[in-house]
Amino acid sequence: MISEEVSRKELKEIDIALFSAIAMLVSFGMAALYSSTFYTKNVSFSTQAILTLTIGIIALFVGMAVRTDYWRVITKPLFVITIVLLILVLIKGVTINNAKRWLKIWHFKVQISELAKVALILLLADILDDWDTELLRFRKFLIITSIVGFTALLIALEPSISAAFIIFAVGFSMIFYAGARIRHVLVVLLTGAALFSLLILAYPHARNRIMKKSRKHGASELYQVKQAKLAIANGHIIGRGPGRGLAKYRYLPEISNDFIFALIAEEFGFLGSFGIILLFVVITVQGLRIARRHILSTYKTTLAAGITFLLALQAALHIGINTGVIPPTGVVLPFVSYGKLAILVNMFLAGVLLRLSYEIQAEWEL
Amino acid sequence: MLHFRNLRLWRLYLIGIIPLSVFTLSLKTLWTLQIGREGQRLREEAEKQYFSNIPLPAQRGIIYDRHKRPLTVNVEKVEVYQHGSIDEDMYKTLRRYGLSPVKNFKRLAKIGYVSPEYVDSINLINKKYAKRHPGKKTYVLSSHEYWARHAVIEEGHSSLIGYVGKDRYGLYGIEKVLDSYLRGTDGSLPCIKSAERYSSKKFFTLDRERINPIQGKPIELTVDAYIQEIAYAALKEKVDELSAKGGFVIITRPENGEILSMVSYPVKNNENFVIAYPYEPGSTFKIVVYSAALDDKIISPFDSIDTEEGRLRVENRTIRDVHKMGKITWLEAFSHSSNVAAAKLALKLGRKRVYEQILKLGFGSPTGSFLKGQCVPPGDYRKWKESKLATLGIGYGLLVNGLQMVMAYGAVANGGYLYSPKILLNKDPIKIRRALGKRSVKYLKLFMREVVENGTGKKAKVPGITVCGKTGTAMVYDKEKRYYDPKRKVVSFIGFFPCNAPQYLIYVVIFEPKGTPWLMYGGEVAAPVFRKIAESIMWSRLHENI
Repeated sequence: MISEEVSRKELKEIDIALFSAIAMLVSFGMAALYSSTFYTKNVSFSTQAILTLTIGIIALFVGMAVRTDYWRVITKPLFVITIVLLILVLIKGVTINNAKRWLKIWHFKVQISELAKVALILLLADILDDWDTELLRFRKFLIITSIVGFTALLIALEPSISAAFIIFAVGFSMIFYAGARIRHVLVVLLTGAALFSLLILAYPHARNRIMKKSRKHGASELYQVKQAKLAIANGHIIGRGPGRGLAKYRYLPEISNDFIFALIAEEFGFLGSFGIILLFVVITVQGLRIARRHILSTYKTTLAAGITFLLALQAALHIGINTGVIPPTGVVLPFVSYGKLAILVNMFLAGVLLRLSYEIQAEWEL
Repeated sequence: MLHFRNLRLWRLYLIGIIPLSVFTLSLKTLWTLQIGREGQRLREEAEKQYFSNIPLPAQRGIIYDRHKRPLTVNVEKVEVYQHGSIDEDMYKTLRRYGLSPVKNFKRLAKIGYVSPEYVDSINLINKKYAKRHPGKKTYVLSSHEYWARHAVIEEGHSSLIGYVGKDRYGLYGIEKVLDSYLRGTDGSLPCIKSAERYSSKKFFTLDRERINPIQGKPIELTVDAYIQEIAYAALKEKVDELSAKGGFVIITRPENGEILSMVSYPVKNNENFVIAYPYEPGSTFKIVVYSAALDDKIISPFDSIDTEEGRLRVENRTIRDVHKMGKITWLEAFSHSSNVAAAKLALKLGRKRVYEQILKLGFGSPTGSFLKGQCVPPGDYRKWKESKLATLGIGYGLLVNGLQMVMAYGAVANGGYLYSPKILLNKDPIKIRRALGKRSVKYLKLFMREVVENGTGKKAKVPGITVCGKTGTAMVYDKEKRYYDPKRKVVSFIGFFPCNAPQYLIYVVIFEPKGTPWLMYGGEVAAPVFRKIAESIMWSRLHENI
């Protein structure tokens, strides 16, 4: 076990590679965001983005400043609040495009599913550390899996299948990494796959996208996929230049959120888009290394792994959708896409990850 | 065993590999799209999708008359389109601009024109609309600016100048014939297209180069706007008076074939009688046989000819004179327009000679100018029957157009030279050939002088100047009933003045005038028009208007 004395020992140096990757992504993201809002001429959109970013940076430093152990105190209340809010969303959420995903708090519409991500990761890390080898029992495994499943289900009911998928994938990977038995994992995976396909069948818009049935403009591809491809190809090697992208003239829907990578690819070309991917690879690799560093503490290592996987998976899905590798759905690009709570949460998680990078390693306690 | 034994690093790596592999796949796609071959195709597609060109219309060249007076102008016009329903308030506003909007309307409609200074007002209305309907389309009106073409004096000139269609292509007259010269080349202003369906927003881009329009070149015509007006007024008066089917007047300068005026009336449907309708000329065509005979020295003015009770039977045709004249001189025969004499002359000359003379005077062939007119070749002379030859002599059996006629008479006036009609001021006159010999020129002038002094064309006499002329009256061949309708006539008068050094040659043709039959002759109908025009020209020359 990690003792208090051990973790109070001297701190290591901050992970410069990770920190600079995040900083670069954020600044890159601001440029792309500003460009993407040009056509709509919605000035408040950009100012709000700057505001959110400021809060995000504060969240990053909070994450970096606070000892990771301390988060365990608020973990459970936070999760309960999140679940309550998620249910509240289903009851009196704001409906946009046939989906109740937003809750109006004061003047802001917030996407509670983003909050669920951080709450679940913190909770899982906490529980997994507490239970430790008890996870090997099927009953315990089932309990923790159903917590993940329940959260994902609440989000799936909004409906927001992509967010539910991300939540489930991240949560379950943490359980898997924490040492669940392979046979238990397989049982859940198969059931999960069955449920997931059932969900997709239940929502026709999702089914159509996966089956590629909704076709506009008589093209063989989906409209968004086609437009994203055109935008990316139009970027060529060095891109059209910052602010000079053309896809944002209403060719790509939700360009500030779901297709920001295509915009970057168009404005900054292969170099820019390659750079973005490279930065996310750096985040992934560094995150995994941090998780490996803390292998002696289940809490820290699962937390690091969960955060890393969340960031990497979202980025992978977003980029995969933009390049047409994955069927299209709305996934935001961490640190880049516009989304108040998403930026806040991702920055906070990045802060926690950075904190983990320089927190002292737990030592063997024989 | 250790308490953390269930943590396995391979599981961590397995989780990490999933996003990393997606990154790799995405990178591969990026490579093919942005650097590989597929990208080139997509980039070309993107080009078409993202950019459009706003046309910058070129201004059409102005058409001037011989004194640099503009005959046409270009006016900037704005078309306004409505894109959806509007409320009562806005309806009233638009009505005030002179537009005709529709209240409940879902698609797109043209609602009228405004002048260019109101374009800003249109945009203001759009802004108001956007404020009143937040979240909806940002505009309800769109405008399209273009150069409209107008004739300065529409009525008199339009048969010659023609007009320009909505697509900015010349449709008739000079505008059509010289279209490629006048039109210029449109430029284009590249802009970025928005994917929104009804967007009036335009985004200019520096990625594409702006192509400036090449303005159309101006042209100067030999036409004199003042003479045009004179001719048109005189013609219009006569045609309306006799409720005729129509008519035209051509005025030329015989010494170089310049066309000073070319008007036709009425101008309904932009029919130009000068060019579109070839007709049988009648007696004015007699100069063919007379000139041939005079040049061949077959006749002399004071030789006598027997007109045989005003009737001549050739094969199955009978050629009649209006009055029987008996034995008369050739001078009298020409001045009183004896058909029998002309027919006899034609028969005497023979097919080949008449045919040659027809071609020599430019009938049956294009005039050699871009103002071609409809020309009908006379056909193979070896197949002509005697009766055909006789009727040709009196101006039937061959279709001519007015330009051919004025050029042929121009040859009489200028000493025997056939010119091509000249309409562009800064082109050199084209002399086609010497068509008439000295003898025929000398005597034909005498003959034509006699027509006006004592013959059929007395009403063309202008006090104070010497006028040479020839009247013409031809019946119209009714194609359905297959006979020459004596009630429908083409009456004409062609003449020039002053006789010694002709400056103006005027040809007046009026189609199918209605009225007392014995008054429907060239000398009665067309000659007064000639006189009126000639008088007006001389009067204005006196006052230095021309």
